[in-house]
Amino acid sequence: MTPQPRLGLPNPGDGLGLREEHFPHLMSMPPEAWGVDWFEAITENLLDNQGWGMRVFEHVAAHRPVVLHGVSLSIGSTEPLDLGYLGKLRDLAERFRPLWVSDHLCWTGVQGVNSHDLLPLPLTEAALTHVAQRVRAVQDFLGRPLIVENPSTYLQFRASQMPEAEFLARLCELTGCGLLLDVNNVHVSSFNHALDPIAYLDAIPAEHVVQVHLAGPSDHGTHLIDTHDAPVPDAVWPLYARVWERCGPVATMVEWDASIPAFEVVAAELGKARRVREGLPLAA
Amino acid sequence: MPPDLAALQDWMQEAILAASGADARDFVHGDNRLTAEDRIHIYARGYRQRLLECLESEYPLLAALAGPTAFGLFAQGYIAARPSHSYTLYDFGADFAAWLDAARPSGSAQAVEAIPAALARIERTNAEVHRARGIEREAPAWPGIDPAIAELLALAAGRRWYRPDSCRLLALPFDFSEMLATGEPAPPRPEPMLLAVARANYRVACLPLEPWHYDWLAVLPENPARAMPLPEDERIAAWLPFATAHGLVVAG
Repeated sequence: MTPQPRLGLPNPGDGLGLREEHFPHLMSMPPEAWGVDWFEAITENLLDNQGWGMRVFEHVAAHRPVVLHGVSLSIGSTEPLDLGYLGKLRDLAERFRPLWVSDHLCWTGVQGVNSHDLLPLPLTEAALTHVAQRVRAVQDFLGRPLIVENPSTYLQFRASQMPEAEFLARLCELTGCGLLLDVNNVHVSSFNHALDPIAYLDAIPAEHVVQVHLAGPSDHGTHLIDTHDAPVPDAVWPLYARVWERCGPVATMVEWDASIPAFEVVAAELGKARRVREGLPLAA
Repeated sequence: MPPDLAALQDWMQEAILAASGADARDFVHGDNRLTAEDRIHIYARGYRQRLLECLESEYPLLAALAGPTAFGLFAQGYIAARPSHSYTLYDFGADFAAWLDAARPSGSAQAVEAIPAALARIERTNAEVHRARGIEREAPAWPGIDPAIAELLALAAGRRWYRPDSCRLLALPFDFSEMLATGEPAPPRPEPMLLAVARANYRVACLPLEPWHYDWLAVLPENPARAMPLPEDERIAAWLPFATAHGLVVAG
């Protein structure tokens, strides 16, 4: 049987990350003036929150599809899964019915510590078996497929036995999980490790790609850092075009998390994405 | 759990927390652009920077009053002493005031060294109230009636009162009135101050209190089921419209 694109999940169109800096805009403008098809909220910003941030999310979720994007699942950690966290995530998902729930291929800490960073895994057979077992456990717990994002990385372990794209492809095969393909992260990691980003993208199983992230990194000369504080760089757009060719149509979303400009400026990045998809030059 | 993976994660976390590249070459590839040690230090710097920015965001007045050098020292000390153990960065700064208090030289509660902890208590409370369960979703006691008149009706009806989770009380050794009024860093006066940090209509305010305000609010239960009637005190009855309008008390 031919696999369904996007695991059979919908393509809601072009989305943005829900950020506090844009709350006044979203609460003062009618939803039809937002110019955005859907929103991605950071899961941890909503857990335990009964304040304005939750009120805005309720308003947004009442008018547009939403997805939940986590940073603390720590799917690659050798610590036991945090069932308290997962329980709150499940409650949140049951309340708001997001299109999907995503997190990163990473670990965030061990020995009870959370580094609040998306730390890289050694890409080994043992790590793959370990992560697959945990992805299955999370999917069973949440009752839905987990959508896993490729991280930006700044080091490679000597122990690694396969490329990251192969690790993700095999993880999809073992667990049925989906992929959140962060094109900027592919660009960052490929630059940092002198790898071919096109080869990475072509090794990703297209039918598992449920969502795409776009963002702008910072250039430190010897390396790029995934800071989400700038427009999507020129080098990322051809990669996005390649992804669209292989995986599209697929939900596309722009992340901007530091030095956040006005809503219209971030939304304008989605306009660039549309032009790239249509084969037009970035500037009108 | 694969033992090699566990050992690798133990090593890498220790390297990040200690900002040490020791043994990095045993585990990590280097190249002509970045050594293995350089690559560990990218993560180590990112870890500290992220937590520093978290504290700067939660404690803006303290950061402005102390200045970047002193605040940086406070923050780096705290980051080293109290690694995060929560899934959310929101919890990271929860012990900052207590840590500042414990780290200062012993002395008078109104010594200048005690100012950072006192100010941090206000700012942490402010952050907690922003996310606390508020009163915005409570059904109005008298729907469709002007709130001020509604409170008079509530008063006349002998309603019972509680203090919501979105109202917190602080007894401070310094008077921060000027700073709280202007939002600008200003040295506090070395005089005790009673303060309520409360939320109404999703707006959080720091409200100086008289001792009799504080004493009444302090005895009110947080559980609506245990709400209490008003005491027979004309001052409290007269203050009640202000207290309800600012989310300090709610009719149960």
